[in-house]
Amino acid sequence: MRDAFFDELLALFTADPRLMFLTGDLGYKLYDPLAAADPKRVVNFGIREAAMIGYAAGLAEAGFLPVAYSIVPFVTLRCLEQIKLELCYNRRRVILVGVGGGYAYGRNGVTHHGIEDLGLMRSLGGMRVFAPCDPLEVRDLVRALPALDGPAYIRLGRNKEPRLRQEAGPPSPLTPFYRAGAPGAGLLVTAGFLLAELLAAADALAARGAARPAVLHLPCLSPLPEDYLAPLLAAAGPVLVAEEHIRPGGLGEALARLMLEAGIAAPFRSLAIPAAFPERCLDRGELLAAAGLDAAGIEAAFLKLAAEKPHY
Amino acid sequence: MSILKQLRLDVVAMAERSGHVGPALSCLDLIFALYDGVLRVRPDAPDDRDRDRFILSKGHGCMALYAVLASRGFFPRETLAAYCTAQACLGEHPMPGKIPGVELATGSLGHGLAYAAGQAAGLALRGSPARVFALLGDGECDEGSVWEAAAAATAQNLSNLTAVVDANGWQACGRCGCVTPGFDLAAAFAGFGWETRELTDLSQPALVAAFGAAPAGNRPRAFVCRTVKGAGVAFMEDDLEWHYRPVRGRDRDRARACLGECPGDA
Repeated sequence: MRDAFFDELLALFTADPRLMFLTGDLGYKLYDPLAAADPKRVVNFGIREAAMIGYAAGLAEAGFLPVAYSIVPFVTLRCLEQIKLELCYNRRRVILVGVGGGYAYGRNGVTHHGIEDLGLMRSLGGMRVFAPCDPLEVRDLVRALPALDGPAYIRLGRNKEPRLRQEAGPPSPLTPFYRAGAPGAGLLVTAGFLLAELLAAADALAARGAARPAVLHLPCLSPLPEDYLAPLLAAAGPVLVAEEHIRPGGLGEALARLMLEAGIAAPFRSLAIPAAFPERCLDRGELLAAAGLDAAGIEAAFLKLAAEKPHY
Repeated sequence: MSILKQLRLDVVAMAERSGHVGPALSCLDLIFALYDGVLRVRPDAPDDRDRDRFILSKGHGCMALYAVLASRGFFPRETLAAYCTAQACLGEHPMPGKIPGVELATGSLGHGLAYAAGQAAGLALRGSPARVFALLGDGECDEGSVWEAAAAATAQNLSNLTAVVDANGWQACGRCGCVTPGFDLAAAFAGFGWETRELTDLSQPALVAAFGAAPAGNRPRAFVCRTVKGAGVAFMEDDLEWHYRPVRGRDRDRARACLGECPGDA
């Protein structure tokens, strides 16, 4: 995802002289091609994330389209109030790009895990929140940036995410990814590159002879496409949300609220990262497994959910 | 009556509805000097893309900004009477996008200088002659983000950026020198590579001459202005009480008398 992002950004950077790239001293060598194209529009701002956001907002007021880049927690939590006030309250169009969302930085540890970002960004009025699922979707999203009318946050993974979408992308990067399953057999839902685990879980369920659940990925978490979601959720059967994020502010809570308000009484569970810090040095796969968010954990949780008698 | 006395009366009148009269009075002369003799701005074209920008980073001083903007014709002076009411967008801290001349919604400290630096960089990059002035409080300079911005502005050679520090010596709960003993604000800006001057002569001609001078090199400039909190109203001067206390009743009469108005005047 990271290479796809920089590759597509170079095309946009070359075509659109308003684009500026700011980094909080991360992305070694990755932005060299941008600097080679126009060094004046590339700024290594230093390890100064709070001021980088304000500076980017000032650039936006002066007519530029700034992209501010760092590792997820540094470009979200570290400078949260600058994002709220300079970008959202003052409505300055700056694109925040966080690399290494979720557990992507595994053994780097809690300091580098990006597991609160989506909820925090969703809590800010006017912020668009994107969690693309694969390199192809990242490219579509980058191409769509100049059409945005306000600030946005993009959660990237790192570099080894498989391509999950078809070559011919949907008409808009806001269009959800949906893979149908057996009618009424249930729905697995996520936002972002955890999609690979959900698809594998659905395949494993089909392979063991269970009815195959449908799989849904939402590339845009704010605003949520509620009109699209409500009928889909109403007809789905059991709904299991799995998210590479803590529960507060995440997709599970959002869909639970949507279903309750829409009167959708389907069996529902959500899997999320526990609100506790890992005590061992684990890689992403091990962390996902520990949280029950790998394909095996999702498969087991869905089997349990599908076997439950409705309690209503 | 001098215009500065009239502006002080405007601030005192607004302060019936809010605190922050002291920090507004301490920066009033600085803001007026900028709008009267330095900034290339037009009240009839407040959003002109090549206008000079003024960022009030210490947003709680906004009564001074409102009074000056009204006096310069950015909006009708009668609007000041709606300060801090639902009838206008003259908030106790500046609100975004509604009042001509208000460039940025501020109020949380330590935000304005980085924004101003980004504006200065963007304006320079697109060849605009516009300059950017940010007014900060000395207490505000506790915030690390001020120094993040200061370092970045030097790195980007932002000679079109000026920081004006309203150094009244107070922060919200005590003297700056008690909160941060030994901290030398001017030396700090100089240490971050800024062309720095301390100003003790705060007369209008001195301020206009200092702020309006062309920068000597390719560095950003800082003016550390030795102001007095509550300046111009004798019983408020250098008294932290007036960071908080609205100006009502007898206090209001006393303040108006200090400024040369009889209690009965409209």
